Amino acid sequence: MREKEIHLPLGELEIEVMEYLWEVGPAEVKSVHEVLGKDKRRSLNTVQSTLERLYRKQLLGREKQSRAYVYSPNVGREALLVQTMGHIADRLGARDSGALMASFVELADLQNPENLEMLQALIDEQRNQTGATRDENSDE
Amino acid sequence: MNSLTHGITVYALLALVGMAAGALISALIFTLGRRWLLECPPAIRARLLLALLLCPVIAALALMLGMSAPGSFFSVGEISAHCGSQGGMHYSFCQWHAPQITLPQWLIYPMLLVVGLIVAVAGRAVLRMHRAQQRMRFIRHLARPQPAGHYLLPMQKPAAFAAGLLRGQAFVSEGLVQRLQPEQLEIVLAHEHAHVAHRDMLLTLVANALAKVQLPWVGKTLRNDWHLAVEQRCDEEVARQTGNRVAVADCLLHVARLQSASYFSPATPGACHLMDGDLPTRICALLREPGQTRLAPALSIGSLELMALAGVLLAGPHILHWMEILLPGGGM
Repeated sequence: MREKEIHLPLGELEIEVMEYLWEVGPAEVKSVHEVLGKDKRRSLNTVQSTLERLYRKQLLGREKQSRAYVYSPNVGREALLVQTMGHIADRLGARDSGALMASFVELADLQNPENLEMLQALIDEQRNQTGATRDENSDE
Repeated sequence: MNSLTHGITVYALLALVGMAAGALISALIFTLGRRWLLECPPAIRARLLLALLLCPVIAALALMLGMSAPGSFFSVGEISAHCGSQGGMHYSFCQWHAPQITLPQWLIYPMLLVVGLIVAVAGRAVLRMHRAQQRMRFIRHLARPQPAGHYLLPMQKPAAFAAGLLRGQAFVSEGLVQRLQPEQLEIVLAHEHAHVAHRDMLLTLVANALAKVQLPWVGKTLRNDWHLAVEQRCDEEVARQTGNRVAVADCLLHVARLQSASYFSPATPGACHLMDGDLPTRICALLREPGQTRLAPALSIGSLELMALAGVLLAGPHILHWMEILLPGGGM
């Protein structure tokens, strides 16, 4: 199944709201405002419209409980990070992703597990040789 | 035809001819010298590859500069006097005096179309880069800065990369940190910090753009060789710092195994559709002694490139002259 397109960028408050909901789980507008709004002089309306925006971006789900909506994340933090990194690679093309990200080991390198075994054998052999040379030197 | 249309047409024509000449030169040098190039130390190889990638742009700029500055370094003997104001008998590219013979309409519209296409492609590339950078900012926002100077990503999948064009940062995921020995983590971070120190992400962006104006098959190979050279340069730096080449090779393989287990499952073989990887080449290079690298190929390829560039500069006036003569309505 094709993954949903995530609408980025997210604003500062949007990220804070996502972080909060990832930490505490489902919450009403009032409790989100209590934590993220009051100290920073953000009105209830600002927080409410932020939650509404994230809902429209399909990053949050909501359910009506008594008279208020309870919002919960539709996507986990890790899934969002992995998806965002994948988008960067897709958008810029396989090798072009190097323009923004120089990866320690490219995913392309992992396609053939047999290669990994062969490389491990080479490393072990080299290590044994180095160990043997070191032993000979210490004997002398 | 107004002077703006004339100017755009002439510059576009010269840019195309210059790029084609430069692409042919770099293709020739690259085809002849690739075997030796691959024997060069990675740091030098990366510089030479960048110089080869720059060839078409330098050739195009040389032609355009020669046309914009008549009487300067492009004046060679009688060829300097091909300006409409001096009673030339054929069409003149001179931008300082109005042309006495105008360019044919069939040449102007394709050239304007080419310019339009280039602007559209460049605009699309800038937009894609902008969106990708927005996503990178989002990733940075979620990551936590560490006292050691890198960012910790709150995710269990093993990942390590350097990101950012001008002010790069090294990122490593919590999952990778948990599964590495402290000395392996040092190797990973040193490798990523080496990318940041060399501004490899910005240089790769430039190299990728320059590869697009090469002959297609040459551009792709040049780009891949550049990518390998950059990775190997960082591997070599870490190997020098740690003094243990086998440990760096082992760390590369260890991270590859972790990522292989995490990103690929038997149910999704080959989920990644990318090209053949560089990992075997990087590991094999680390298992060789560093003394085996040779500087001689670098010097010969470097001098070949210098000679080719000197050739372009010397041939520039003649190329301009023959283009003027060969243009319809401009023959003597």
